[in-house]
Amino acid sequence: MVTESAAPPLVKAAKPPPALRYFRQVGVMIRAETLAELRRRETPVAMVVFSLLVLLIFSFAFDLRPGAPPDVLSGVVWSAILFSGMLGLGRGFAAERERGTLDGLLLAPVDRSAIYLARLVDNLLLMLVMEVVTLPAAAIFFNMPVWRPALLLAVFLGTLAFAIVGTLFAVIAANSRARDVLLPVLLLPVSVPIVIASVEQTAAVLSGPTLLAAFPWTRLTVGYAVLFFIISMLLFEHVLDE
Amino acid sequence: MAQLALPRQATGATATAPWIWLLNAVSLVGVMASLYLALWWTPKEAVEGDVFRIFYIHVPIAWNMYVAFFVVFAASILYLWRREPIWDRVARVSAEIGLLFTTLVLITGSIWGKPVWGVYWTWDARLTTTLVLWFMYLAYLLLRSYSSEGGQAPRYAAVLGIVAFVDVPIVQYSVTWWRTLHPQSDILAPGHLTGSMLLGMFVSLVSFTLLGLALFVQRYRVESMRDEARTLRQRLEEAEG
Repeated sequence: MVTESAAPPLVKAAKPPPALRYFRQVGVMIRAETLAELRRRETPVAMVVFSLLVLLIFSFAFDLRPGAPPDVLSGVVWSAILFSGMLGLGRGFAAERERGTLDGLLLAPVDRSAIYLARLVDNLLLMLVMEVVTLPAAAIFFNMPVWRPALLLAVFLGTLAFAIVGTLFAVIAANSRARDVLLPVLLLPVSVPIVIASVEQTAAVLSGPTLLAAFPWTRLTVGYAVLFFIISMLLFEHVLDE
Repeated sequence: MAQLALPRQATGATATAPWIWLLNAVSLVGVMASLYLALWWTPKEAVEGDVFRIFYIHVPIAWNMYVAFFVVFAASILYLWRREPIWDRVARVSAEIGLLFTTLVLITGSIWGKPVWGVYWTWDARLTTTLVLWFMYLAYLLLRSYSSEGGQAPRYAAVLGIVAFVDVPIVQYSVTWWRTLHPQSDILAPGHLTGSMLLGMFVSLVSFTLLGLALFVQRYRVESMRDEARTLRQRLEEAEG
């Protein structure tokens, strides 16, 4: 019979390098939070229903029908995505505070920026899931050619850039008194470049199949995403409770 | 009740230092002088005539608006780095002054716009960018007022101050380019400045900057005293409780 402490292990288990450990931490957090949320289905369902309703209301507001100009359609779809996205951003962090899991996360020896990264992936996935329903709905309602790679790329990049800034502001807004109202007030002015760029790119793709004409906007979106990703990673630790 | 040792500056806090009187006086005289220059002394502008005169106020206020925003940015960075309350105070006072000046820029711009463009508002690049800036200042102040009393609000506000300022050139670029892609009907550019007009503009610039500084100092002192009162009140509650 061999007890645990009888003999030292013959081969010492190698410690993973810090970078790998970091990403493993992020992965664990993502699995914990995102899958829990998607499985629970509250937030994704609310987001999807809300975005469909926005499409509906805008069709009344502008009397949209199949064949409406691509600029208008692009704006309507992005309005639905952004409003619904803010709904999801707002709920995510509030739910985590209620469950008390945030305190547990802060006690663990996890790098603060890893928490941001996990939240970012979580929010991004939520928005992408919402878009999986919204885009086909818009394609049907307004006869939009949604199934073009350039359009999907434009939507993805815009969503990513929005989620990068939104995740940072969602934490700030979640800790204040008027959290539902404050998030749009904080997020929308700062996201103006993304809103313009995304609407322009999508309109360009709806008019012609490639992104070439609107490529400078794509470049702007990517640049914005990179810049604010770096800034958010640096500033996130200041935003969490001590 | 426990004895509270009042900090030394509490007794002298209300006395106004001589340099503040001087600053207020000089900025008042300066603003009067620039109004005189703007409204009477300078010649009519070639294209717009007398309508142009509002620019002697509009341009310096716009300049102050950008300076105030930069101060918010710098103070926010300093606060996150040093965590000293003074920087947080500088940031929130500057944001308030900045919002005031941004509002004035938008109003004076609209007043200029009505006779020149025929409309009070147009979504041209400059105006739109300034409106976005106005919303950013407003967001900063709303964030502060909606935050519960505690150590978090200054940090959040500092993060917003940094992010918003970094975003301003990007907003400017994207809005300007959006406008060139979708041009509106001919927008008259502000007129050109010649000789004596340059002097008028320079005097305006200096006096309104001094005015901005004077307003900042006033507001800063009020906030400083308010913070001190809050600290004393907290100490009193702790001593009693």
